Amino acid sequence: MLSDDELTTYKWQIWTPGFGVAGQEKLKSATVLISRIGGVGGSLAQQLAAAGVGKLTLAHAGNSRANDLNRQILMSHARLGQPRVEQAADKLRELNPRLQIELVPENITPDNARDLVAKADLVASCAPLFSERLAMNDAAVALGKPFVDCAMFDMELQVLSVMPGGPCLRCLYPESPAAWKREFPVFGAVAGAAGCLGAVEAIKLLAKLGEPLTDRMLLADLGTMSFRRLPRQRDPNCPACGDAKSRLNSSGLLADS
Amino acid sequence: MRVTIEYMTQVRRAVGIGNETIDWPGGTLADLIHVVAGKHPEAASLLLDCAGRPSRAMLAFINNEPAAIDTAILDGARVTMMTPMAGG
Repeated sequence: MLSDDELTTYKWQIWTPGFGVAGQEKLKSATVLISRIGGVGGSLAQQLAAAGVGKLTLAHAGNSRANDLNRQILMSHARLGQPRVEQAADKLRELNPRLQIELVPENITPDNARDLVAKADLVASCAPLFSERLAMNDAAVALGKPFVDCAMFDMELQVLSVMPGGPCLRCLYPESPAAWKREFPVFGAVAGAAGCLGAVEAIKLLAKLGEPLTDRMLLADLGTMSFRRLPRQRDPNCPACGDAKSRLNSSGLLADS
Repeated sequence: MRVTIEYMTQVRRAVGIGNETIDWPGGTLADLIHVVAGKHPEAASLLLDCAGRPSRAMLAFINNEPAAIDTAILDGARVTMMTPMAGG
C-alpha cells in the first residue's frame, strides 16, 4: 500500500503505461542487491532509490579515493577516505528517506554470494572484476533470482538480464578473460549510462514491464552512439545453468568431480 | 573472399582500429580468429588461449548473430570480435 507521500513522489512514473500503482507497489516491496556502488553501481543505486525500490543491499569494500570521484557519484570530496558504503547510504537517504539500506562492507565472493543473493528479489552486478560477476551469476542461477549485469570499458557498455531458465552470464563467457585488468579507461558519464540502463532493466524485471534483455545483450559504443541488441543463447554445457553434469557445485568445482 | 571484421572493447584497443576489411581464402570462425591473431599479434593474447586455440573468454558474432567456432564464414560477412567487459 502506497502512502500519500509516495503517491505524490512517484506520480509521474506511475503514469507510465503498464506500470501504474501496481508497478510502484512491486518496487516498494522489492529488495535489490547491488554488487559495488562505483561508477556503474552508484548510478544504478541512485536510480533505483529515486524510483522507490523498497530496500537496497549495497556490497562494496573499502574507502573512497580521489581517483574514484570522476565516476562514483555517491561519494564526495569532503569524505575521501571514508567507507564507500556509508557515503553511498547517506547520499541515497538524502534522495529517498523511505529507502531501507543494508550495508555490506565487502565485495562479492563465492563464499558470501549465496547468502546475500538469497535475501534479494533481484541482483545487480556492477563489479570491476569478472570473478565477482560470475560469483553473482552462479548464485542467482542456483537460487532462481533475476540478475542484471551492466558493465563498461572505455566508451563502450554492455547490459543484459538473466532469468531462471534463460541464458546466463556463463553461457556468454564461461570463464574470466585472462587479460582483463582491474583498472580501465572510464568516463563517469559512460559508467553512469551503463548503470542507468541496468536500473531500467531492474525496474522492468521487478514490475514486469516492457521487454527485458533476457535473451539479448545490449552493446553500445558511445563513441559513435551506436546501440544494438545481440542475441544470446543458453549453453546446455554451461557450468552454471547447463545440464546437471556440467554444473559447478558450491565450491566452484564441477558437480561430477 | 572478403570479410569485414569489427573490433570492440580490449580487442579494438589492442588492434588500434575499429574495423577492417580483408581478403582471405575463406574458412571457419576459428580460422579467421587465427588470421587476425597473426595479423595483429598484439591482440593474440585476447583472441587465443595459452594453447593457441580460440579463447573461450572472447566473444564473436557473425552478422550480429552468435556463432559457433566452426561456423563457415560466407563472402561479405561482418564479424565482430570482442572481449566481454567488466568495468564498473
